[in-house]
Order: sequence, then structure tokens, then C-alpha cells
Amino acid sequence: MKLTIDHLTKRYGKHTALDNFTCDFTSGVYGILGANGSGKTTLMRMLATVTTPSSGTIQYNGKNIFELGDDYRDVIGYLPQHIGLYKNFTAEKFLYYIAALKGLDQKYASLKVNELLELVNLSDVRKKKVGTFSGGMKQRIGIAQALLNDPKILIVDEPTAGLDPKERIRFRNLLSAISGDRIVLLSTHIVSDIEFIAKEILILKSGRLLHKQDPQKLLSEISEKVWLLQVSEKEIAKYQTLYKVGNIVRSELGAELRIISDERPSPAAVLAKPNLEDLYLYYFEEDQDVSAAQI
Amino acid sequence: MFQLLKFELYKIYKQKSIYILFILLIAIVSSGGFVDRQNERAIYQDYQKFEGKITKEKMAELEIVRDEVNEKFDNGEEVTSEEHTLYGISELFSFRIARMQEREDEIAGLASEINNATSSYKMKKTALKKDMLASIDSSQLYYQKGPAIMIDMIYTFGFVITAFMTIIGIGPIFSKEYSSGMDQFLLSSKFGRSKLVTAKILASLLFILSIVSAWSLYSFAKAYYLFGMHGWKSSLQSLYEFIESPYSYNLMKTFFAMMTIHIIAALAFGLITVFTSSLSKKVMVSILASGMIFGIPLVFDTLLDYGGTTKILVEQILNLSIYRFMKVNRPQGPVAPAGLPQALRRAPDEPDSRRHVPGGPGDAVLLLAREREHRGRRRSGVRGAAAAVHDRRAVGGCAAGPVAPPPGAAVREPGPGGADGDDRGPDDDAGGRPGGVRAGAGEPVDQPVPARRPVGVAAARGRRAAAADRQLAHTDARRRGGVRRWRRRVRARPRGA
Repeated sequence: MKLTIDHLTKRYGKHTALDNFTCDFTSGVYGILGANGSGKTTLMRMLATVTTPSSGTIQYNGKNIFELGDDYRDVIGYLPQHIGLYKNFTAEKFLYYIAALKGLDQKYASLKVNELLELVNLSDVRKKKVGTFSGGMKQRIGIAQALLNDPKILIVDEPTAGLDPKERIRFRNLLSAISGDRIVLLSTHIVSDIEFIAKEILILKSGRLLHKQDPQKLLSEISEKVWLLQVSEKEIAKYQTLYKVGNIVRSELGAELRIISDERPSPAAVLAKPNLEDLYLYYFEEDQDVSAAQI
Repeated sequence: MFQLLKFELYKIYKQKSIYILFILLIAIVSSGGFVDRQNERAIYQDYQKFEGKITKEKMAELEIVRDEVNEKFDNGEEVTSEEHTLYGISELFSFRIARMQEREDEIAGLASEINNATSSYKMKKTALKKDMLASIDSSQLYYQKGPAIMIDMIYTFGFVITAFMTIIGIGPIFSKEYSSGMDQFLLSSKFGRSKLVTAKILASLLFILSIVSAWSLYSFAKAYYLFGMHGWKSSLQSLYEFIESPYSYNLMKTFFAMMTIHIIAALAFGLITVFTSSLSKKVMVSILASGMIFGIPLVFDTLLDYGGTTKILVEQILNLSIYRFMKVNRPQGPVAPAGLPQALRRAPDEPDSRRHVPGGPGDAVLLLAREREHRGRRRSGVRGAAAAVHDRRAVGGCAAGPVAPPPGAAVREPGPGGADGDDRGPDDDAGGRPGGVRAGAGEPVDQPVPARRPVGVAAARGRRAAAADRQLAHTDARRRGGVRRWRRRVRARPRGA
């Protein structure tokens, strides 16, 4: 099972949303990291065949997915970033509807709907209309519908947005559990979602693919760029203007800053073990609010 | 597939707006127009004896009633409800006879046209028209108000209900998916681009069928309750709107033919709406777009006044509109061919009367009143026309009986000193009592009308003029005979007395 993306480009007028994207996916979880507007959603919409590329191809096991058409759509599960649901439908009915759209036979659909409602913890509210659901509940319904047809390729666009920490952990474990023999493409800007489950991490910036590597290798690239520095309260602002500053841990003595810098910011600074959050900041800090990357 | 269809139907029928709109439309259709049901039953009883073929015997019997009625006028006595109805039937008889005569003349005219035809196309066309006219048999009279209002419903309100419900119910079928963000689920699912589209189209068509069924059922229930289901055998030409139709159809066949055409048109409009919806990203846009496709020709037809060559051009374009296709009937009633007596023509500025129940005996009276109006205008200008309008108001609500006005209709009472005579024309003293039946008594009306007569154009024209004269003589004679006095008296007492 292989998904091959070759020189994929998508333009909206003069704006290039995705530029010459090339890579291969095999079984496993792929985390796609990128700031807003980096092209994650555009890439995923094309992978889900919702939009067509301006140029380039996407192939599934050597065949163009747009030519495969319904056969390809039969093996994918897609959770869009902004989901719209029928407000009048109950949770259960909505899932049955998607099951019909996915061509599941009724008996199987009924089994699957029960199983997934249980999985996303919505069994209690199965008869309630989705219009009354909270953001997190809607997101969970979205996840359930994507999994209905046991997809070989699961494309989830910021699936954890709107979930509370407990739900997020639950979702992470769920993904990890089902990722066995399928390709899971997960875009997020919340790095803890993929920190431990991603086989590879793709870093997208302004429509271009900067890196595609396993997390450890990516982290090793910044292994000498993360520093811890003890500073006084007054100095915090100064370091924030000079460097990319991650966590700030306050104590009685002042504050401990986590600084991402190619050079040692101060003789007193000591090297720290990098994590994905540092990686994210390293690539995106200049055009992204730091807090967005914090958990 | 069946599952998807079920869901699509569920989505359509789950829209509250369609129920609100339907109730609103039916409320509008039902408003006004009081019909005395008991009285209608009595009228039907009175009719039964005279239903079927128009015969000399029936005419003779009615003539006696007419004489009695006229006598009662003169003596100032009250007229019974039955006499009232029979008087109306006798009017219808004479009107039918006049029409049959007209048709015969037209056939004769067409025959000579065929002889003089310059192209084979024209000849075939004329021959076809002649044959069609010849096969019409409108010599049977029935109490037919039930079928008449059911047919009327199709091209007055029915097609509007179908269109509005389609626009509101089907308009959002695709555009709502886009605007709600559901499109992403649909487009990325296995059947979202294939079977789902089929399911949506099928669901739309089923919805439209259900709408047409719903208002037809309403129309049936209304007709059945008010008038009963009688007179389906009556000829199409017995309805005023179809007086000149060349089709040899009875009302049953007409109803089903019109419904079939309406349904085909409605389904076509459904497909147009589905297509429009698939192009729109916003629900409002799709509703407006399909609303305009239906509504713009309608606005042209109802609001804009145009004439001359523009009219021909606009008419040709409008004939292609889905609105006219759905309406089935021509928008402004029959267009009278040249040579038709004025009495049978409709005034060009005449608005459609919503309260008017077509096919009732009052039709003849209405026609005659119209003629009176034209003559009044010609003769004495404003004064005569005003008097004619008065007449029209008096006969406008013929739903309740042959010549009774609708309840509460404002009718001018005569002033002291015999103000009745204020619209008398110069020929007022030309005759005696109502003589409609008598005027046509010499015609072989109980025999089948011969399809051909070896006459030329001039002869046809002459006979046509004679028929018109007879009709007009009848009109005036009736008026002189005190019908107006009689009407007032009938109005003054409670119905069904």
C-alpha cells in the first residue's frame, strides 16, 4: 500500500497554496505540521478528492486517484477541518447516512455505528440531534464517520481542535491503535498530538515541504539549538525580543527560559533535549504566535 | 441506493419551511368564495331531469318554465329556487345552440379555406382543424361544477403551488450541502458523486409528485364536498376557458390530460431547480435563481402590457417558458378567432375572476353581461358602460346559482321613478319576453349537427351574423323581460327558500 504524491501544486488565482509537493506515504501515522495557511488543508482536500490539483499527480498503488474515482474513495476516510453536520439529524442517523454514502450494507453499518459511537464515547447521546452538540462532540462524530468504512487511508485535518485534554488523549490512543495497516495523515499545529505516535513528521511552510523525517531525526537536527537559561524577571523581555523563547518557567529566583537559538544565548545557558514543540518553534516562530504551539 | 434515497427524502421532508408554505398557499386558495352546499345539492337535483342531450322536449319544457317565470315577474311574485335554476339551464341551452351554430359556420369557412389553400401544409393544417372541430359534440349538458373547479385549479393555483413548493423544497438540495460544509463528506465518499446525485434527483421528483398529489387531493376534496363529482362526461367546450378548444375531449379526459402535462412540466422544472442548486454555493442564490426562472415569464404575463409586434415576439418567447408549460392552459383564456360574434368574445381588459366557477350556468349570463357592457360603451358612452358594469357585478358571483350575486355583493338599487330604464338602448321596444329558447327553436338541435354544409364563405358569414343577431336579440329581450327586476327579488329573499 503506497500513496505517491508527485509535484503536486495547487493555485488559487495568483496565490499558490501548495507548491511542488512530492513525497511517498506507506503504512503508519504521518504528522503534518504547519502554521495556518501553510497548505496542510489544501493538501488534504486533494488527497480526499474534494478538490483537484492544478498540476502534479497523486497515485494510490501506482494509479491516479482521480482516475480510480469511487474505488479510491472507497478506501479513504476523511475528516475535514471545518465540519458541517445536518442539525436535524441525530448522531446515530448521521452516521447511518454516511454509511449509506460509503456503500456499507445495512447490517454491517449498524454494527459499525454502534462500535464507533462507543469508541468516541457518544453512545449516550446517539438519539440526540447533532445541532445540540458541543464543538468537541461534533468533532468526535466527525472522527467516527471517517472510520466507518475501515479506511485504508485516513485523512484527518486538525482532528483535535476543540477537544478537551482528556478527549485528545483518548483520540491519540485511538489513532495509535488503529494505525496498524493503514496510512494515517494527520495535520495539526498541536505537536503533542503526534509527538509519540507519528512515524514521520512533515513540516510544511508557505505551501512547501521543508522536511519529512522521523521525529528523532528531526529532533537531532536541532539537538544543539535548545537552551535552558536562568534569568531574572526583568531580563525576560530582553531575551524574548532577541531569541525564540519557548516555555517560561517562573520560580522564586526569577524564570527559566527555554530558548531556541543556533548560538548559545548566554554563557550561563545549558543545552536541553529538544522536543517537537521546540522543532515547531524553530520553523514557525516568526510568523506564528508562540502560544499557539504551547499545550 | 434505496438507503440514500430514503435519506434524501428525509432531508427534504424535514424542512419546516415547506409545511409552512404549503399551509399558507392552501389558506390563500381556500379564502373567500362562499358556496351554499345545500343549495348546490338542490340545483343538482333540478339539473338531473335536463342532463344529457339537448332535445326539443326539454327545450319545450323549459320554455314553459320561462313563461311562468316571466309571468311571475310581471305579477311581482317570488320565483322558486328550482325555477331559478331552470331559467339558467334554458339560458345555457340557447347559448350551447348558438355555439354549435358558430362551430358549424367555422367548419364551413374552413372547408372553403381548404379549397383555396395555397400550400399543402396550410391545407393539411386547415383540414386537421376542420376535422377536429367536426368531431366535437357539445350538445350534452351536465351539472359539472365539481370537475370544472378541479380543472380550473390546475391553471389558477395548482401550478403556482407546485412551483413555489419546488423552489423552496428542492432549491436547497445541493446548495445547502455547500453552504453547510457537508459537501466535503459527500465529495469524499464512495457514492457521493454518483449514486447520491441520482438519489437527490429521484427524491426531488418524488417530492414534486407528492406536492401535485397533495393539492390535487385538496382540490378533489373541495370539489366533492361543495358540488359532488358529477358531469365528468361533459364536453371540454362547455367550460368558458375552453370554449374554442378544438379538442374533442370530455372533462375527465381533459383533467387527466392537463394533469399529465402539468406533471411532466413540474418534473422538468424540478430538474431545472436541481441543476440550478448544484451550481449555487448559497441556498438563497439557488432559491432566487430557480424562482426567477419560473417567475420572470409570469411577471411578463401578468404585469407587463405590450402590444403590436412586440406582443407576438414576447408571446413566442413566453411560450417556451417553464411557467406556461406548467400552467398548461393559455394564460388569458381563449383567443377568439375573427368572425366570432362579439357576445362570445372576452373583453381584452377583463381580469381573471377568482370567484368565478367556470362551467356553471351563470357562464352564459356572464357572457351576455359582457356583451351588454360593450354595447353600452358603444351606445351611450360612460353612462351605458356604468350600467353594464352594474349588470356584471350582479352576475359575477355565479358560483352560488345561475344568476345570484355572491353574498354581500354591492348592487345598486333603483332609485324612485323607474331609474331602471336609464340604460335602455334605442332598440328597447323591439321585442317582448325572453325568447332565447324560442329564437333557436327552429334549429334541428336534437339531431346530430351535420359536420359539413355546402356553403361558401359569404354564406357562412351571413349565417354567422344571423347567429350573432339572435344572441343579441336574446340578450336584450331578456333584459326587457324584467330579468333585472327578477334578480333583485331573488336577491332580496334568503337562498334556498
